[in-house]
Amino acid sequence: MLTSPPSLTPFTGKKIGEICSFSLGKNNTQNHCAHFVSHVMEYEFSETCKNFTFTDKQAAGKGATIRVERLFNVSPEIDIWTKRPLTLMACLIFVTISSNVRQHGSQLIMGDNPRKHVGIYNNGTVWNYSNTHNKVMADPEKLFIDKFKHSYRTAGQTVEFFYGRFLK
Amino acid sequence: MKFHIMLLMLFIAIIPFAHADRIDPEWGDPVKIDPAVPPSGIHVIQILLENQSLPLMGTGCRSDLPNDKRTLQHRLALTLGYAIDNKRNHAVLSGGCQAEKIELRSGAIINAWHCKLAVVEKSEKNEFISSSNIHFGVKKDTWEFIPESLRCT
Repeated sequence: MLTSPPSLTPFTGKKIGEICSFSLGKNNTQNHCAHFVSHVMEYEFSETCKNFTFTDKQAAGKGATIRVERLFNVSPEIDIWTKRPLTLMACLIFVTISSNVRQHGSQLIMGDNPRKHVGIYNNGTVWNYSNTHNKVMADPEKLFIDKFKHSYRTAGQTVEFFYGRFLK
Repeated sequence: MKFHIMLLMLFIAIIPFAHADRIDPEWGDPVKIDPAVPPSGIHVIQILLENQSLPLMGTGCRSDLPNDKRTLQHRLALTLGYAIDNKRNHAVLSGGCQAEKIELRSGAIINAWHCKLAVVEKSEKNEFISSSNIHFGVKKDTWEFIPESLRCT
């Protein structure tokens, strides 16, 4: 598990199948955002691409966590994006609709509404997996936020952005 | 001894009904299972509905809340419901089953069908908005649902 991101530029434009050799790497109905982030950051817990099927389990290689909410719910510090400390120049960035996050005790918990996304923020750029283009994109922060404000807009809901410190 | 015989008779009486439970959705006939033929789309839905009371807690569909009271029916509602809520977008339903080995809780490895129900929500411009997938395994000869194989993504 990495506590800071590796060089992200080489991932730009890559398809998930070039990053993941397991069966999920060939699945186009899957949201690969958490899957991509977890391969890059070496997060391997809960549901992963390696423990997905018996055949995957037998194959060589490291797996990666595939669900956005699993990353959100174990991040050591989560808060809304606009409260991100100015000194925090690299972190996870999460997007979902407002009803999909609730306070549980002192912790924010993300649910399993399908409208959720995660990327890696690094110095003003968000590396994230575009399921539309089926490749890794490096989006400027404003473009990323505008894009998801538009695509996730839902009646009676707001689109919420969160930062999360990298997992330890 | 009498009690055991009664229990055995009751068990024998129940078995045919347990098999007769699976009715083909098209004509209402009993479903004939060929272990070489995977469940079709209608059977994938039927199997999910038959197992709607399965608790999500302890499965690959659990939430991270400590007392997740939901069952498979709630996950089905979530997967299918969002697709019809947003009038601007459209949803593409897909799925099916393919042969796969599945490891049971007991450690036994069996030949099974790995099935999937997937809903992908797309915008008018065909941009990906969201997806919701339910994956599960069934035994090849009975289509019995294998709870430990349940995964949601």
